Amino acid sequence: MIAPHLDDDDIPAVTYDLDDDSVVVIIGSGAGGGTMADELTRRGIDVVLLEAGPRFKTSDFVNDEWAMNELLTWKDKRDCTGGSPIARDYPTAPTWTCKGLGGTTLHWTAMCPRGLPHDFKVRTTYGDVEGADLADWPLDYEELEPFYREAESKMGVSGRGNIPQHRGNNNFRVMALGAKRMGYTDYGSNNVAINAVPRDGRNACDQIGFCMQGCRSGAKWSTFVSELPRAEATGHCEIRTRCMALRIEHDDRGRASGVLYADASGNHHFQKARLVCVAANSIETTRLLLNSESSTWPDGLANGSGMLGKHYMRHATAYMYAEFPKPVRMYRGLVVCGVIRDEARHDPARGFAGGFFYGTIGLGLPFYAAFLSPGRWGRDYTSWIEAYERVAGLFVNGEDMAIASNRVTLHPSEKDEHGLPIPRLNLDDHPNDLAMKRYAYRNGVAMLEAAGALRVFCSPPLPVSHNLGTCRMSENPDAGVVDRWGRSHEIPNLFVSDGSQFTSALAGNPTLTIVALAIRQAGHIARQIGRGEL
Amino acid sequence: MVSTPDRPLDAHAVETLTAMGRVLYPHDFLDDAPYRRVVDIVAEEADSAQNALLADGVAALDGASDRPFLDLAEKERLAAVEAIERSPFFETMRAATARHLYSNPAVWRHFGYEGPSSHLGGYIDRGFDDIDWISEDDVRVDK
Repeated sequence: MIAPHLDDDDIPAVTYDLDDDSVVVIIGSGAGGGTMADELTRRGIDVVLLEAGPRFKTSDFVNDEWAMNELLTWKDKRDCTGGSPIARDYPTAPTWTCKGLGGTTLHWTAMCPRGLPHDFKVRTTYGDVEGADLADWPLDYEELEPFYREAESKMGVSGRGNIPQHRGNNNFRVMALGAKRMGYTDYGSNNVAINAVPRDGRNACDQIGFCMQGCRSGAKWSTFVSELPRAEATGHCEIRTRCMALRIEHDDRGRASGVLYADASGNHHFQKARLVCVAANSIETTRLLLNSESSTWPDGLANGSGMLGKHYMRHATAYMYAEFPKPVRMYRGLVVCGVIRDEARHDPARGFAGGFFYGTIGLGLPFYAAFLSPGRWGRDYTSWIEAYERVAGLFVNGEDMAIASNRVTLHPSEKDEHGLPIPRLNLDDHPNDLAMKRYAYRNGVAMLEAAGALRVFCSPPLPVSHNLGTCRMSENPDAGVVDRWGRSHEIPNLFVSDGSQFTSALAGNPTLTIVALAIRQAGHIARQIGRGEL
Repeated sequence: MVSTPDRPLDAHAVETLTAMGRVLYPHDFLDDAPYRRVVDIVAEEADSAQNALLADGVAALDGASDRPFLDLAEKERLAAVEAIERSPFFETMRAATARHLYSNPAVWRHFGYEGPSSHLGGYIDRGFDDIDWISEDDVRVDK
């Protein structure tokens, strides 16, 4: 039974005038933007939320990998240069994010690791890593910890607090066997924002196995099923879908004055704002700020430091698929059911700084055949496809190093449908990333063989779903774009609310941290509004 | 005569492209039908430029040796396909086969894939954790 609040309703409960400059304008409806909308509106603050994509219904989600890829994916062209395999394999589509109400929370797999204490102090902990531009966050784990707890409760993260864990699926059992034989001790059912039991008006997981294709049961947290309906129900939130933000304007006092956007018909409108929160995911957030250049900010809005767009991070990722003598059926149930946390520590004796997580991954046959090794063909390859029923999937997600030249810029010539430059991403791998991946592959293969694998296929990286760092937080205004609250160093009513704030990548998946930061940021904004400072 | 902008691929082209699919992603236990379906999808989606690309590609396969592609043995067919591996025609057919062969519900049972599950209540009661060669004891953390 699908809870009634999941039904589509295009008629807004409240509408705001374009000239109403008392509203907060939020750009983007994903983990960051959706959480901001919920947290501000529950405090009675009026919000206009602009979402570039459409409002889907749960009934739009079908158990079909390619069809949902077509429906949900942000497909607008992005250019990718650089030495990374992503640039080689996916030069016009380096990223895999969503375009729709709920943002990338629509297709995420809901893995929720916390950042570890050292993750926020990489410069102090690792020292100077040559070729990397490491910096400490201007906050620490202790300060974020209560917000992690609150985020975990809001999202329903299994295994946290008194929230039940999921039973392990077949794929999990294989991973766990390998983990045990390798002597790991910190492994088990993953902490996922997916209900194992009914909770918070959402159903329990049916182990459908199509987490990345939109959750049919409503068990998986997304801002689409959770924060946005709640925000709309307050009567303080107007969501405008199919509205693409084009420019953020500022007044001559250097304050953001509002957002120019294009509606579904391509007509332009300007919504005034008391405050703007940009949460369009790193690439679009960066692009919007760059396209909002003015005579005061010729290198992009809020980019007096020159740091905007730089230090793009996306995690060191790797995938392994192992064939076993007997059936596994990795497609049954949660896509990222299991996790191994032992390697998430910082331990330079392994030959690299920072750490990584192992997790299970299950793919359907269509995606497995396409992505096991994109471009491969012939009998050697099809022998792997024929092994499908006996294959277990394992992935690696680890911290990648911040490099100034890994950056998002505006394409010098290509324009989008609105006449604005498309984004260009330059991406190189740092030697630390490569050393981490070599270790993770070697160790992962050994683990899968210890579990009884006949052979292991090491897959190349896929398009990026974790896009981070392009508006990094810093103490010093010259060293970053935003301060410890995600506020622009230069523009007091401009905030960044998505993963582009990250000063370092953290070892694990970013969404929980994005939500925790947004809860904290919203509280800060509300206090400032209450004191008349915003 | 292969195709013109206003005419679909002829029977020879369809048969040749079907056979090409069997070289790209060979599975001996599949009959021609799913490979033929890939060609049908490609043909349906093709505009005039694409039709010309496909026609030229078929001609290249036929011209790879002294006999048409369809008259070659498997090893020779493989050589003919390898010879054009760098071409946009090759990549078109390779990508289309990789996508449409395996997203065809008719082939799934051959690979042990069960397809959509939400309409059947997912796998919570249908074996999501039924692996019988690893027990829960086997995987318990040693503390």
